[in-house]
Amino acid sequence: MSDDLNKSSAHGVDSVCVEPALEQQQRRAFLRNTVIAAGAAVVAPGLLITVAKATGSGDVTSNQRWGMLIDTDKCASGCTACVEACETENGIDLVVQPKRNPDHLWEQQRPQWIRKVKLQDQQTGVVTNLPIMCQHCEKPPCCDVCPTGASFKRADGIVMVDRHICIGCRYCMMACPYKARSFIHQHVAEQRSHAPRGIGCVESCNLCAHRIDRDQGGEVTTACQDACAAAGHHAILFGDLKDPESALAKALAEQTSRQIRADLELNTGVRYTNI
Amino acid sequence: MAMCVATGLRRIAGLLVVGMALAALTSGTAFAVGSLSPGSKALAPGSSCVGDPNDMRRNHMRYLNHDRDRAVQRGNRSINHSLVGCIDCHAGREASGTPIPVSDKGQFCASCHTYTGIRINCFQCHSQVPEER
Ligand code: SF4
Repeated sequence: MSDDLNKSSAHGVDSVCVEPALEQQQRRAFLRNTVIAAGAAVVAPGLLITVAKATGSGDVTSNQRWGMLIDTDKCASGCTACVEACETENGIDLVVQPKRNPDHLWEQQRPQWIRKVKLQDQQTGVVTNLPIMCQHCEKPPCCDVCPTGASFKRADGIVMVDRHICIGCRYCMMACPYKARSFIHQHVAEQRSHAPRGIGCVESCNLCAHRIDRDQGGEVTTACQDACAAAGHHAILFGDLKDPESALAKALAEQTSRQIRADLELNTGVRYTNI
Repeated sequence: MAMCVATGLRRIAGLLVVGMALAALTSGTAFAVGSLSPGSKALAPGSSCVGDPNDMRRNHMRYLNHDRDRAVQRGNRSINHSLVGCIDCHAGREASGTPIPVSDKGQFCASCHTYTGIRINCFQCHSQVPEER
């Protein structure tokens, strides 16, 4: 298709009048525009892909949508590499159990951005392991219920909490179908520079937004993906859902994947295979 | 008569306090209001602030508020004013090289905020020392 358009842009024979360098430039610009205009293609049901990357102002744009594909067949039983990596990366391990908090409360209340879930088929007995984190919905229920606007979705699809605005009401925790959010109950003495954290706010997985935002080109990965690969499992694939050239989009195009609670029609950014 | 003595004493005491404060300000030791913390990068020769220091003294909170919204909500890290940047440059260090939290008594942030009676809540959530891990 782009070939045809290209010819018509150069007006066939007339194009010899145009300076070669200029012509090239125009052609490139034209091609780019054509691709942007025509480049909406359906990759997987409900997944739209467009091509365009330039951000210019430094703000994130909706030309990208970050997401993940998790292959539950590769996720190993007993492995917690992703959980541990997430905790180190985001300073969650710096939150200490308050003395007055008994273990069973602490286990329920400690912040957790990613957790391992084990499913067992009642009929066949087959066990499936999978990590669950914020699913980065296109239509996030947490944002719907947030009374202050602290829960929000970035232009590039990352759902997060602006803790400058959060009042700690925890409506979002109740609204989230994935149990993905944590509340910070106690004073936190130590934080990592890129991961502020304090009493009275809600937080959840932000797809390692600090890595994405400081990206200087090259491939961005999340801490959990790195750890999973380092452990030899390669179950987590992170990338840009809207870039057809990304490994993620290609993997999604090749196989059947599922959204957890697809019935809610939230169009999650995190998808799973083999569940 | 007794009252007179008391007033007189109080006056002398007042004068003494003012005198001590002035001495401290001029010698720049005990009362290091707004001065750079020893051991901080800001003291390195050739280093300069991201803005005009006078303007920063007066308006840093506005700049920080403005840029934090850009950074968090729009993911824009090409901002000029970041708290992490302030802390990186202004955190004092012990002789051993261990960074001192910027809001510790007498340190860069605390010195002014205490003097002016401002209570900020940045450090309820934000790290007060440069990232070292
Ligand atoms: S806890 Fe914070 S983010 Fe969640 S709904 Fe309340 S204000 Fe919004």
